[in-house]
Amino acid sequence: MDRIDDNDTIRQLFRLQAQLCQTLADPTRLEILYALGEGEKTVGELVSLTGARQGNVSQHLALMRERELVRTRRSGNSIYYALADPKILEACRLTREILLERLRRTSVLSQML
Amino acid sequence: MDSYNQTRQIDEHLVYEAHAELCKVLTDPKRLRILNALREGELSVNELARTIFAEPANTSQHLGVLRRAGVVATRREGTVIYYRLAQPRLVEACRIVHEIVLEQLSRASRMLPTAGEMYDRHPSTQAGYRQVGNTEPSGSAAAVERLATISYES
Repeated sequence: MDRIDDNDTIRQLFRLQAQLCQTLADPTRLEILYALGEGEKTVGELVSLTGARQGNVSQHLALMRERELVRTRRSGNSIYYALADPKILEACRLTREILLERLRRTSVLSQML
Repeated sequence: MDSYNQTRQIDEHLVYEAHAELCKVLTDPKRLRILNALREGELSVNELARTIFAEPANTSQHLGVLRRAGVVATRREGTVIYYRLAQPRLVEACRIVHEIVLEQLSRASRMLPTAGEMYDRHPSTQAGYRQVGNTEPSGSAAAVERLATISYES
């Protein structure tokens, strides 16, 4: 990368990317993300799926909405949450593969010891 | 819940925890820039520092975090240590996140009148913005388009 590339737009882009990673850096938010990968859900449905408290889930959803990871749709009295861009699941899947391999290696190792 | 499901649930939670931990490693713009730079091949600390516009000491600290997380690997040659990517799949994940952010930015730029409004919150941006403004009179949408061509293009 050339020096000329270090402009404010590039800096802004990496800052936003770091911010999005920060949004993903929470186990409950990741669980919500995977649940929404199966289709749109209400807060109530996400609460029973994740086992987290309603207030907690709502807080996470508010942040995820602010960071444009999820979008909402109102139907009658219910608000449905959905993934804003399902591509994020592919990024998570790749990361998860690495971790699963590591965990498997660790458990093989502990069985050998 | 039977015991199989219970065990599965615990493991599942462990994976979410580990996943979140790995994401934490990527929550720093400089570390993301290091990973981006290493896509081209291995680099020494000094080369990386120059590429990401950081001090070598600061760059070393970030490299330490990435190495401990198993994201980069090292090779020593004489007194120089070379860093390389240890997890190409993680870099691919970063590229996807990068793409999503670019799309978010380009959506946002359509709502903003000029690039100036987007960036002049930063103290040191006036010169940079004037420069962008001179070459890209159509504002931030054009700036974002230009961005898409410089970074993460293979």
